[in-house]
Amino acid sequence: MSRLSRRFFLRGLGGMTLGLPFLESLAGRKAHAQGMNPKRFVVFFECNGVNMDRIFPATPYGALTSASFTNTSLAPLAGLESKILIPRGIHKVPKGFNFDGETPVGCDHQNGMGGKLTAQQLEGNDHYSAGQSIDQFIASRLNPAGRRSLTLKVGPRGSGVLSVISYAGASQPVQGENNPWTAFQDFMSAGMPNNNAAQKAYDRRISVLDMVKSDMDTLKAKRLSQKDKDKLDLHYTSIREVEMAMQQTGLPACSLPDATRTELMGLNASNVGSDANYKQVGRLQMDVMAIALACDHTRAATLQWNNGSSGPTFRWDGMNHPYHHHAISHNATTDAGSGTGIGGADYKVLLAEIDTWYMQQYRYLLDKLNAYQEAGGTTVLDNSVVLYANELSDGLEHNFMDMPFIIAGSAGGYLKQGQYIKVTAQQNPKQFQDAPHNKLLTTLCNAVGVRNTDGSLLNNFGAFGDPGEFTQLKV
Amino acid sequence: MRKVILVSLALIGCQGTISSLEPTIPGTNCKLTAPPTALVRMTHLQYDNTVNDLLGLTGQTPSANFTPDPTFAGFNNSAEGLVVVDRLGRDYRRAAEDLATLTINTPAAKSSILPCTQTTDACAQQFVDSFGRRAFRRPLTAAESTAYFTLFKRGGALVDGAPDAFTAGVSLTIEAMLQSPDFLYRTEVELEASSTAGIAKLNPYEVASKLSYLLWNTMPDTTLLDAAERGQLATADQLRVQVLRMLEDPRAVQSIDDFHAQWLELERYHSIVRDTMLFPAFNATLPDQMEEETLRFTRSVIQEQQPFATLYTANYTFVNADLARVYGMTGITGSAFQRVTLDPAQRKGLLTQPGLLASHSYSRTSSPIHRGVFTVRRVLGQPQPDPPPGIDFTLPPLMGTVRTTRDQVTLKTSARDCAGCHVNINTPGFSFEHYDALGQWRTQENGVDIDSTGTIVLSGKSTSFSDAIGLIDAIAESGEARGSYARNWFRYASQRADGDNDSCELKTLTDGLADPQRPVRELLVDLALLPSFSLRPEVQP
Repeated sequence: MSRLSRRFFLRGLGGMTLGLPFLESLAGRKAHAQGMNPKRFVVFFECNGVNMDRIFPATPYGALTSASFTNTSLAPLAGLESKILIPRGIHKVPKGFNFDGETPVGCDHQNGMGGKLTAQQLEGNDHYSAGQSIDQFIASRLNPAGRRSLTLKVGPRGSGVLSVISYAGASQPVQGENNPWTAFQDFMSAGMPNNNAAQKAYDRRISVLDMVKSDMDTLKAKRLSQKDKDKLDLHYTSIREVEMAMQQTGLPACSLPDATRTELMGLNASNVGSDANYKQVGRLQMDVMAIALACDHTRAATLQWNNGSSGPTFRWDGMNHPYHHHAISHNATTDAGSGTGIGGADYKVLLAEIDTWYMQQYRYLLDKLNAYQEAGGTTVLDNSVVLYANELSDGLEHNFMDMPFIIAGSAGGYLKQGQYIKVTAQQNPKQFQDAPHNKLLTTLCNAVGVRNTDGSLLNNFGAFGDPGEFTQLKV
Repeated sequence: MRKVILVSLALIGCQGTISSLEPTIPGTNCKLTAPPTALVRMTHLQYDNTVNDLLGLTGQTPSANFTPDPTFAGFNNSAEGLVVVDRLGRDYRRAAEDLATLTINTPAAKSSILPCTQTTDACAQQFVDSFGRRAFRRPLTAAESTAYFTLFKRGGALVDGAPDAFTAGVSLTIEAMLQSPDFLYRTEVELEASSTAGIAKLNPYEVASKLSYLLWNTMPDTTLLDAAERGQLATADQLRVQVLRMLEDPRAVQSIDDFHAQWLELERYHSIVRDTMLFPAFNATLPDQMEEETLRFTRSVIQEQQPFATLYTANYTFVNADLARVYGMTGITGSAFQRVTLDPAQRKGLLTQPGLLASHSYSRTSSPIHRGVFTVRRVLGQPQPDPPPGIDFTLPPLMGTVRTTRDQVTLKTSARDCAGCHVNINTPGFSFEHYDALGQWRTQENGVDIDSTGTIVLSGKSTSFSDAIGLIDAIAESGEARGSYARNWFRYASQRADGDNDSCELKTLTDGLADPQRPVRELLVDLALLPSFSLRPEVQP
């Protein structure tokens, strides 16, 4: 295979299959060729905490039943119990609230955003995470070299620790893309012109790429530190994935319906982050994410709904909230208030409305993934871990204990399904003696097939000891 | 130009500190810091400005679709944080393709970049060289000139939709150069020897780019590139002439505004929402107008050659009808801004502008704590830690002797564990109690006369004041305020956080602000003349 020219090979796949570094693309699809389904890791991330009275199943620990989600915020998940796993009693690390014995860097919100997917302390003056997040870690193991986790976001862009959940490394925040059309264009060809035009476009891009590479090589021969040379290599990695159209790869339905594509193209880049577009953009982001996963463009992805200590004012789908999400989470009218009341309304009722709405969105994503068939009578959902996570547990208290986590999909049979399982040995799930959340992250890394170089299971993800796995969650 | 012969370091694999390799800045006791990178990528703002100027286009904002940049040390232009990773390279590619197509289809743009009208090879070569010099902000090398000419000639075969082969070549050249690292990064890689051993200096073109991206947030103009070519960016006098020329140019607003918007965190204005039943002067466009007021004001202080203290003590501002309502001014109509004189008993300079006050308030009440923290951190430049985790921020209710916001905050923060920090925060915070949650003047709160008195120690001197006006006078004269303003400009200009090495230069900048006759814009001249602006350690980190 190495004797084939890059161009010849790409042509062989069809006119518009452009420039995906082809050996890597083959590696990425090896699982398919061998009849194995790829495993994926997905995070669905809500901010500001939840109404804790209604976020867990109504039935006792054990098998989930049709009554489990009744009269809870989980009601939208009804009917999908057999593909859901809910662990209970997990606390976040670092613990916050001075529970670690010293004041951690950053406030609770910053720790909730920066630490949830990293299990790291924050660092420096800017309070970014001191290490890589789990989605980027998994992407570095399961994706073609250099291809990061697909990080999508609903709501406004931002520029600090509160606006990011994904990290390529220490103090390397990865901003989520909040425009689904931009995200889609990035990995799918924007159009399907005739093959001659496509070939010409491809040849042109290769010529430009060669020129850019030549300029980079010239620069690298000058007075550059190793760090700057690495910087140029990173840059080159970003552009060499020219474009690809996955219609030719034999994977299922790697194109969006015309109506969805039209809707995407109709988005106005200047206001995709506004409250008015929150619902529509959220749905389109999930459409884009589902196809990116189903077509094996990426095996790790995150969908972040708004920023920490922020959030939209919910005025759709029957909600007509007086204040925005963060204020309501504090039973207050502003970001800075707490417990001062929201003009007579019960903030917990409004919070449950918000949580339920997010569960409807989560369900939408799960249904999308569950509709893509894969080998062995499975679906993309079955071969994935789709983790619901939140910045905090009780938002008013900024609490880090008894975190709401929901796992959908078994990662190809690694995890139990249809279960509600207490994973702490303590009586009260609101505890911080055992069951740190990096233990869950470790379990999920293993679930999607990440291993140590010797093939053994990972014993730790993050910077808080060697927790091992929650074996209770494993089949 | 003589190239520096780099010392070949036998330090491969050495994990030790490199500080011992930092040379001393001539004439000082300070070391010369090596910048974190010699490849400083454009910010998204700089990218937009540059492509408009380079291609003769107007109003293009391709970066609206770029993956956003993180902020470091309060600014989004950190040299270390500006990298091309993940999707951004593809963002640049899409923008380059779109901009190339747009340029060849916009007659004014196309003619502005063509140095000749023929479609000959000679003209093609001329275009490659003249456009390349502007795109890379330095002349192309012979090898680059040849390579890009060769690429130009392939345009006819590779570019769809161009009317002729020559135009196709123009398009392809634009598309490639806009993706070149020599365009996307401001480079510091062709240093020259300086008069001091161990220290190199930027070459004239590198100086030109650094000046234009600092003062304009865009590429150098022809005058600046020509000055570089003639070696006229070498002496302090030459640099001074250029800086003053550039500050007179309309493009200077692009940097002056960007700096002040980030220093003062003006994005906070956009979260101001008020109930119009309680605040009839509020409307949804008011935050934008408040931002416009602040930017017009900070611009005026620089451009009108006001001294530093005027930033805080000016007796004027800029308002339109909507803002005049907040100020309680009469006789102002229309949406256009006009310069007005402030009521000296109620308002003075930057800190009493409604936007700053309202963006540090709750939706119904003022927030002395937020106003105080802003004053301490941003205005006075003093470190102020975040509150410890797990604090209940609820203020005690208004009842009994607790009758005002000041009473509530005083009671809430009087505990021993809180008071240590809050004595510093509350004093300036309370001084602004004459301004309500929208920044409107008031004499009473809840029927109780406002108490805005306090005592503050600045520059080692204790000052008692009766209200914000008194505090502002003390701030305007303080070394703390000068130091903070200078430090923030230093960070913005050097695109990194400051460190111990920088104390000499920070002192130079701060001292320069102390002269009551000296225009604050001289600070920008000072910045360009700092040793660290153009000198680099010869040894690479």
